[in-house]
Parts: sequence; structure tokens; C-alpha cells
Amino acid sequence: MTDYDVIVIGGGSTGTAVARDCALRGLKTLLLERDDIASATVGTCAGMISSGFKYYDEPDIMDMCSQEVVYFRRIARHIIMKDPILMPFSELEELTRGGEASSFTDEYAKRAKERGVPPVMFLSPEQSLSIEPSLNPDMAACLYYEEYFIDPFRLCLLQAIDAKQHGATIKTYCEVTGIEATKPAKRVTFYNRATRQVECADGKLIVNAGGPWAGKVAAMAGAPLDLRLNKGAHVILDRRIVNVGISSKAADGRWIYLYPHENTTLLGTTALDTWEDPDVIVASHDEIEYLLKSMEWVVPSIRQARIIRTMEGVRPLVPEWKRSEDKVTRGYRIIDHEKDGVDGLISFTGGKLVMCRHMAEAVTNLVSKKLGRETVCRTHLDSLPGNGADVDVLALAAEYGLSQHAVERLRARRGTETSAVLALTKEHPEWKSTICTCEPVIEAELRYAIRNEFPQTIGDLRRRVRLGTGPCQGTFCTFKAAAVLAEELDLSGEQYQLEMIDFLAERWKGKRPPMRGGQLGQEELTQGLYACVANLDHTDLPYELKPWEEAA
Amino acid sequence: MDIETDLVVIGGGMAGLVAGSVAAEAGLDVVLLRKGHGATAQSSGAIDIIGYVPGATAYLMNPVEGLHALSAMCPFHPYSALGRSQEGVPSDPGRVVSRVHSSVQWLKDKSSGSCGALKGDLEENIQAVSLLGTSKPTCLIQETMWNDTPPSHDSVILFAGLRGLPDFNPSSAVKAFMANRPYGEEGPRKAVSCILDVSSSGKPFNLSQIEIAQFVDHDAGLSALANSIGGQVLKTGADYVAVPPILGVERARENRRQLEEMTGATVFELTAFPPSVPGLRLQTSLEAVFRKADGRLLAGHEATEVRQAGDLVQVIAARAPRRTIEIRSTAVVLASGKFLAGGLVGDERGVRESLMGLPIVDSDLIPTGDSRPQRLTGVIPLSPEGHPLFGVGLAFDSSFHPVAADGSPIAQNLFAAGSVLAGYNYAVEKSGLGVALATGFAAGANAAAYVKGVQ
Repeated sequence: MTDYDVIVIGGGSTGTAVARDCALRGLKTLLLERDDIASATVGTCAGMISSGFKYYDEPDIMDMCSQEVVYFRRIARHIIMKDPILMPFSELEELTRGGEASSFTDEYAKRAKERGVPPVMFLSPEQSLSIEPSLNPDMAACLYYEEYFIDPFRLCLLQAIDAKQHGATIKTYCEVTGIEATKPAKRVTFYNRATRQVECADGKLIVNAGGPWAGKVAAMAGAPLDLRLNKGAHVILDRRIVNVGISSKAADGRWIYLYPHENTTLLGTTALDTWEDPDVIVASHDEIEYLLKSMEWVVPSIRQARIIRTMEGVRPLVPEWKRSEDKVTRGYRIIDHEKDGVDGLISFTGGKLVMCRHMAEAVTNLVSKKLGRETVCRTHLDSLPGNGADVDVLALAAEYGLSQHAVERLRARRGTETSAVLALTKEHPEWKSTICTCEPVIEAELRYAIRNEFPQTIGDLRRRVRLGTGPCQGTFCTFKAAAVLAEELDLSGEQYQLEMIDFLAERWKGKRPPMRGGQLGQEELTQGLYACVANLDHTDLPYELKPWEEAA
Repeated sequence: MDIETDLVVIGGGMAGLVAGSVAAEAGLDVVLLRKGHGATAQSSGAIDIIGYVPGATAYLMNPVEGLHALSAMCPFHPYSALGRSQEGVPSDPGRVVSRVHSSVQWLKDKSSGSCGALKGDLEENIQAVSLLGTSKPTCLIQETMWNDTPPSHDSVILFAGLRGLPDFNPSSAVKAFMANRPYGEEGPRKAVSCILDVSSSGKPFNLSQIEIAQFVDHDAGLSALANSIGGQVLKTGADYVAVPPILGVERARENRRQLEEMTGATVFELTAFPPSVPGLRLQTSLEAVFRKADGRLLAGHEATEVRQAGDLVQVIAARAPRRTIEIRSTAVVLASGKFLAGGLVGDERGVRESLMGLPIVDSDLIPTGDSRPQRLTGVIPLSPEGHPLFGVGLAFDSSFHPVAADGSPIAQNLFAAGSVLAGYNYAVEKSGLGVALATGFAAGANAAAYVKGVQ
């Protein structure tokens, strides 16, 4: 007798997609995540669900990507935005060299109509500048194309919630410490960081979606798994400083980009092979300057923008070695460790955000086969929570006396759930108060997220509602959100204070590497609030050092 | 030349306004240039003298002891400079204490009776409870935040929030307050919380402390607040009622007296985050002192250039929304603040003084102008050590002249005060407005003496 058909390890884009697919197919599913949903690799990506444009030399991959975009538009259109992208070229030759341009424009055009985008266009410098005046006018032409972007946090969370609504058990803050995957009943032992207890669960199969930790997870079961870990940094600017995305070649000839994203702009990425613990890495000065210098050629005013923070994540690439990172396949591999004598474990390597559903479908097919169950995949057909009819933002803003901006931001996270969040304010009109002024986020959404989306910390709330992601980086919302969390979860006075310190520490991790300009005054203000007035710098609370703090 | 004057003060926060007021009271013609609202207006209004010796974890019960310790341990601290009668001699702690005492006494006298009237003295730190339920050692607080007797062991304290004011969550504050016990283990016996319904507009959300305080300055607002508090006092048996700082902008002291009469409880304000009403009251009362001494305040005027000839600064250019002006002045006090106020700026190449490009040092007098800001920070955001970045600023001598690398004054008639100075990290030491007050007081007096000497 086992507890579960499938135990999924890892709550990133792939793990949550697998849990959703398994649950939708009626498999009894448990998902274990050592931190929060979307708290590692996927939380540091740009959110692009790529048409595969860059991977024209892998036509199958490009085909898969553009098909997945069609599916995402069907199941999650409420959390998707479309951005035009300009790719300036300084010489026309660059466009035609080696037939590159024709091969990717042809590939791109294949599913353009289904994706709801025009075919690739070539724009003159004048046309390009009229769309994006901040471009360096010294260019020959621009390539114009359109891509979709998804809120990666919401995607993972909605996949997890949908899985839960279909019977899966989702356990966050549960770190796997041991795996027995060779006996008939496979057992996973894990440490529950919330209860501080060691627990275990039995299942028939284990799916390892550990991302950069997949090698570690496989090793626990005694299975070998090679991964090529590659880190990438983003620099985040305080607002949408460009009208459209910009893609350009970096100092070393790699492609980098500048994407307006939610209320910010993302400049990324770097790509460096890494053997470091993913928990301790932060962006380096070289990575920051590489990105700024490279983008400065096409957007000369980039350094005038206010840098609010950096983020750094680790890609778990397919282990192809002795070639540069951008030549490694963007496809994924499914490894059935039965070949290694570990019959109960299946692992992933590689993959992209846009493929997470596809990866889940493939692995769930394999799981079903191994379990001898006949199942049908529905993840490309059934909506994620909140994906439904259009939401009339203007009418809701008028009905509730809220700013249209606040309601639109709410809609972009919640879709049809928007009305349920706002309905909370009928009994509690004071919950219309803005808690995070940068984003903005109203108190009702915080309460709704706490009650329905299992956050345990303010950091978890950040992933759910984008709290503290704007220019002030939590200066003015940390204390308000901590109080709401303390009230809803009945935290002790100590925990309430530690929540604030923990969240400020997490924000500081990304604020510190690029510190300059306006952010120096911002940090002086943060110190003024939390050190000078609140005295949280002099406390005897049992603060636990964060991994990157310990490593420094 | 548009204006000729004895003294130009650049910066309108605590340091600048005190320097300008002291100089004007000494008979100088003073023009003060103020770019914006100033960091002082953004403060909690509590005036910290010294709460922690740098790096220490235990707070100082007595600021006088702290000044003695700084004078011995931190020779480059602005307070320590007050203890030197000339360059090269050790700081005399008695002299430090007496000069800080003079500035404190001056401010208490000047603000007496105003909306920013102060309580407290240099011999004892008090625990100011914040709207988070935490507390910090501070020296002077506004009368409306002061309790003659702290809550005793058998008392009940009520944390009263206001519906729609998201800055203050009384139920969470109570939990932190009881975990921290800032008044000691003895008291109070019980802490409870409630929400009051007081809104001028009837709008029950996104209220600010300032709009509530302005409402309470009117009779209707005051009686609404009194009724609301009175009901809760009856219900809870509270002896003390802690409220966010909303007791009034102009009439706060009188409002408090009436509230206490009407409710029978002691009502006091917690320290708050910006934009807080006490910061506004402090700023307003400092401006009133400056104006009363016939100082001229040019709001919205940003100093853009200081022109120097030989060892004297002579002309200050300033920009306002619709004009630019030039001022010839006999002396200048630079009180332009740190990063928040704009006195210092930094980019990936280093940190600079924004107006004149004056040399920048850290708290150990090491030149840090070419240090990338990130290198002047630690990996932990909040710690008793703080970040060296917030201790950088101008090197200065015992007369508060900014000095060059060799220790010689940049100009005989240029003085500096407040957080543009190096040598102290106000957020962790809890010394912010105290250093601004004491150095503003000294720089203003030195500038006055200089001007009188050359006239």
C-alpha cells in the first residue's frame, strides 16, 4: 500500500507542470518543494515563452516552442503579455550572412498566425526610432518580431493550485533528504522546514524535477545524472524604460536583451558555467558591467536608468560539453533511471520555460506507461485558474472606487479571480488600502493570497502578488505586509519581526551588487526606517543567516 | 550679483536650519537655500543623540556616557571634533558633552511652546516605541510622544489603530511590543489593540497620518477621535493609549491635553515611518526659529555651483523652477545631507560630494571617493555594524571646515554640518538628528565668528 502514485520533487515550472498533469490524469500525486513554488531558476528568468526564434538551427525545438505558445494562449491568457521586439543591426550584411536571416524568419513564420503575431518585418531606422526613440540612430535596419511573456511566478503557482484542486498534495518548505527508489514501494524522506519535523511518503514512482539540484536528488537515490549548470544574471531597472523589447549582440557576440517586464525592465542575461551552490550565487560586477556596456551600444542612455537590483539563476542544461552555452541544445531530456538499476526514478535535464507543459506531458506519458495506466493528457486543453472571460477593469475600478491601474495590475495576476478579491472589500472596505505602492498591491489581494495560495513568508507573497518588486524594493511595504501576514497566520511577535528582517535580507541580496545612483538614497531611507526608527538592527531575535550570507 | 549676504547655508534640514538660525541670531544676514523637503521632514521627529556606541549591541542608558565613549574610541566622529579646541589635540569628553548640551538646551528653548516642543534630557535615553511595537533608545521626543511615568506593572496599554490607515497594524504591534517589553519586565500588565473609526472624508482606505492629524486639528476631528478612544478605554480599562502620530499638526499638544481630559487615559504617540507628522512638526518649528531670527529661506532653490577664489569661496549659484540666481557671500555652510538628500552621489566609479566635488572619506578617514558603493556595504542588510557606505562623507577639522587630504581647509570661509560629514552612521548609532543639531550649532557659530572677524 503506497500513499501516492507519483511523488514529484521540485516546485519550479517543470515540477508544478508535472504535478498538474499527473493530477489531471487522476494519478495520486505529491509535490515536494524545499522552498516556495517558483523560488529558484524559474523565478529568475525573463518570463519569455519564446517562439523558439533563437533556435532556428533546431527546427524541432522551434516547432515545439511555437506550438506551446499556442497552448499557453489557450490555458493562461490572463497572465500573458505580448511585447514587440526590435533587433537593430549596424550593417545590412549582418542580416544576410550565412543565410541566417532567411532561415529564422521562415521558421518563425510557420505558426505566426496561430500565435497571433505578424511575420518578421524589416524596419528602416526611421520606422524603428518612431517605435523606440531611445535606440542608437546609428543603425542599418531593425528586425521586428513579437513574443509572448508570462508571469513565471503565477504560472508555476497556478499549475500547483490547479494540481491541488485536482487532488494533488502540494508541500512547500519540504526538503528531500533521502530517496529509496529500488524497492517496490519507493520512499522519499524529507525535512519539513515549517514544522521542523522529518517526514516521509511512499509512492510508486518518483519524478525528479529538481532543476539545478536534479543531480543531487538523483544521487540520493543512487542514480548518476550529469547536468551542465550555467548561471545567468539580469539587471532590473525601475520602470519600463523602453516601449518595446530590444535584442542585441553583447560584447562577446552572444545575444542579450532589454525587455519591458511587468512594471520594470529586465536587462539580461549572462551565461557562465558554474559549479557553485545555486543558493549562494549573486550577480558579479563583471556581469553587471558586461550587460550595461553591451546594451549601451544600442540604447546609449541605459546608464541613466535607475538600477533597482540584479537577479541570478542557474540553468540546468543538457550535459553537452566543450561547446559554448548558446550552442547547447535548448531541448530537454527525460532520463529513466531504470537503466541505472533505479527503477523508480525519472529525471529531467535541459528545457525552457515555454516547454514546461510539454515536458510534463512527456514524463506523465512515461509514468502512466510504467504504472500500466491508460491516461489522456488535458493540460493543453483545460484552463489554469483565472483564465476565462474578459474582465472589465474599468467597470470594476469604478464600482470599487479603486484606481484603474491597481485593478489592471490585479487582473494581470488573477484574471477572472479579480472579482473574488475585490469582493472581500465589501465587508472590509479598509482592505482597499494600498500595501505595496510601487506595484501597486491592495490589502485585499494580500489577504486573498494568504488564505488561498499557501504562502508562509513575505517572500512567498512577493512571488504571488509582486509585492516589493518595484523601485523601493520593500522599503514601504515590508512592515505593512508583515503585519497582515502576522494577523492572518497568527504569527508570534518574534516571528512577525523576523519576517521583516528575512524579507529585507532577501531583497538586499539583489540590491547590493549593482548599488549606485538613486538606489543609494533609497537604501539610506530603508536603513532609516528599519534600523534608525524600528531598531531592527539591534535585536536579539534568533535570525538565521541566509546561505549567501553564510558563504560570504 | 543678485544677492549679497554674510552667510549662505546650503540645505534646509536640521543641520542647515540650526546653523542658519545660530548665525542669524548672532546678527548675520543669512540666506538658506533649500532644494526640496529635506530628510529631516522625513524623520520620525525623535532626536537621537547617541543610542549605541558603534558596533555595540547593548544600548546606552545615558547619552553622556556615550559621548564620553565616542570621544575616547572614535576620534573622527563629529561629536569627538566638538571636543577639540584646536587640531591635533585629543578630544576632551567634558567639552563634547558641554557643547552638545548647549545645542540641546538651545533647541529645547527655541522650540518650547511650538508644535515641535521637546521633552527629555542629555542624561537619560528613553525608549521610544515605534508603530511596529519595537523600540529604540532616543534622547529627545516631542511632548505628544512623552509619558511622565511609563506604564507600570498593573497598567493596561491599548494600541489604537485607525481604520483605513495601513501604516499601523495595532494587533501585530501589540505582539511585538509584548515580545520586546521596552518598558521592562514589570509593565504593563496587559496590552490590547483596537481599531478606531476616524476619517475626515468618510473614505475608509488609504488614509495618511497627515490627513488624520489635520482633521484632528479641527474640533470635529478631535471630538470624533475622543469619542472613539473614550469608548475603547471604557471597554478595555486601558490606562495608556498608544496611537500613531496623528494628534495634530499645529495643535497636537493642546489636542492631547483635551483627549486625556475627555478619556481619562494617558494618550501618546508612537514613532512612525515617513512621511510622519512629527517630522513635519519638527521641520515646521525649525523653520519658525530660523525665520524668527530674520533668516531668509529660499525654498525650491538648488545650489548648482560654488565658485572659489584662492582660499575663499565667494559666489554660490542656485537654480529655482523659474530663475537662476547668484549670491555673493562672506561664508558658506554646506549642510546638504547624504545620499537621500543629495549631498552625496555615487555610481559604479565611486562616491562624490555633489556640489563641489570635495574629497570623500570613510569613518576611519580613509579616502573612499574611488570605491564602488557596493564595496562599502556588508552582506547582511541590518546589523549593529551597519554599512560603511553610510559613514562616508566629508573630512573636516575641529572648526568644521571641510578639509583636503593634507588636513588643510578647502576654504577658510567654508563650513559643513550634518550628514554630509563623514564619521558616523546615524541609522545604527541612533545619532542622526543629534549630530546634525550639534554640528549645525557649531558650524553656525564658527561661521558667525569668521564673518565678524573679517568685517
